[in-house]
Amino acid sequence: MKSDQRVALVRTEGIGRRYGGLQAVSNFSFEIYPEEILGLIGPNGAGKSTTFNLISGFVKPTSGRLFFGDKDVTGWSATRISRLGLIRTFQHASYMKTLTVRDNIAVGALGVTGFWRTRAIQNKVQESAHMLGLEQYLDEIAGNLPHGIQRLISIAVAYAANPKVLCLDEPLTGLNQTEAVETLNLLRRIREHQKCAILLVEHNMKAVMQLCERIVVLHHGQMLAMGTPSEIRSNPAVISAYLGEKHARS
Amino acid sequence: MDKKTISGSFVALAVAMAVALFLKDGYSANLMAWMAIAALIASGLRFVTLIGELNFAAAAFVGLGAYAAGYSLTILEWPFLVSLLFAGLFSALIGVGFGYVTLKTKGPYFLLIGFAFTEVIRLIYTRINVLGGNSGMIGIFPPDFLMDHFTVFTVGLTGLLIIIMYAIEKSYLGKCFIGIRDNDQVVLSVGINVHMTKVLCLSIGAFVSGIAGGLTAYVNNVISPADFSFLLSTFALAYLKVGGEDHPLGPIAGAILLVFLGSIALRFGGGDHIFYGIAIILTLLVMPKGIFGLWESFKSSRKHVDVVQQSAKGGQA
Repeated sequence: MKSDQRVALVRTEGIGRRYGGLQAVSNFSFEIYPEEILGLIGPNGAGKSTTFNLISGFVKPTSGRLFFGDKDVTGWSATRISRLGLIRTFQHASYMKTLTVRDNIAVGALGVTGFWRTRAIQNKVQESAHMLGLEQYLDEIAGNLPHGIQRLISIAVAYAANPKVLCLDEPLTGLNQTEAVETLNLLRRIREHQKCAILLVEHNMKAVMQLCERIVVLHHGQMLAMGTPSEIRSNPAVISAYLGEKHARS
Repeated sequence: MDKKTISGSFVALAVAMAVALFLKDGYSANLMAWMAIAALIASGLRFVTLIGELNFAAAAFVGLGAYAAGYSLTILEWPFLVSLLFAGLFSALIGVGFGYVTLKTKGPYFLLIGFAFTEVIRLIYTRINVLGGNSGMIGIFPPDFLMDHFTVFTVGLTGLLIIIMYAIEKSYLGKCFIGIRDNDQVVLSVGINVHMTKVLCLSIGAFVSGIAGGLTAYVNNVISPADFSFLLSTFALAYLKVGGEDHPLGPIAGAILLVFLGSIALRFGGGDHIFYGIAIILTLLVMPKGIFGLWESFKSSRKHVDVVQQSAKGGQA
């Protein structure tokens, strides 16, 4: 496979997480390559969110290893991992509700710039707001804005943190078709501009198939399949996981 | 922080210091100093609410500052300014340790730990003979050159510290504090060490409380463990709630009002606490956002009326 010759940006080796008697993710190995858009899909409860938490350091793995470049970052704190450039968003309300949009984005930049480099912070705010088309909302309080805009603020905050790998947890939830298409175009632009890889967890299959170059399917905490959208679409194991045995055979 | 706010606050501070300069009788001067110290403690409490925590250990930090000032002045015989600075730094240092251990908890848990910490620290004073045990320490006097105008000094220093806290609140560090209050997970996800940032916020609050404690010792000349029980934190919370916690002037207004009410209540023979109780209940019922919350909503409703009137005019034209 072509992708195997590239150097992976993020790599997991048999990573797993157990909660008491529940093995949320087990023996999961995958790679994120530079500047690719990778989709992570799976039915509810498949372990997508746990995988997200594992690679971003919010949850420590109970087995396996995590690498960033050639650095072993297993067990690193979320702060240290995000300083390497792995920035994630959250499913719900990934923004600060009482701050203005401007200050939201500024907080996103602080991890890179530090607290006192005012000029650098302001430049980053302008750049990020311009990228996401949020300029007209800069002085609004984030909590008062419509849901679609708040989704963009979440991405703007993450973008301001100079991601090398941008991990988006269901960025399209609650958006209408037009907004979803706009967001997809936006993600492509971000990838080109920031030269970052994007890891996408999303339930909107149409969007995932359109946007992602590779897709990883999780089922019951284990990897079910990996490949291009067309390979995934025709993979009998995936069809059976999503639609049941009957559809897989026909 | 824009230039208008900075110059405005320094003018207001200069006026307050001038007022303090003209207070002739000792009681009024002391009353004003108490108001200033109360405002500083309440502002320090408000500062820690930026990260979304109610710091009930504030009373402990005030006490640590007071005892640090008292001990370093009367026993170690350090110069006045050094002992006052030591009061703040000692509190801040304890604040770093306290915050590092306890800020892993949030909300009611953190509040209760602060409450317990305050009482433990208070009991420790009563067991240490060199600190005077239950009866406390005496003879903590400001230096001769400040003796007559110690209220001016107190008002000036508290005002300066409150302005500095406001400047921090308006800086990007302050935005980060508020970000942590709103959504600490997001702040964590962009590479900021949330825990240490919270410890920093608490330590700044502890420093300010320590200075307030040092000033208390110098104004009252006498300190005892009972002065620094959890009631002090409760009062500070009352100043904050009555004044309004959303506005930096809120705790100042609340402190001035309640310390004044308390001084009137003393004339009726003790029981000044009942005034605090009534003031809190009335505030929560009538103006839940405090005096300054009421002021803000008054301003915005007038703005709203203006907008409505203008659009009505526009409709007619």
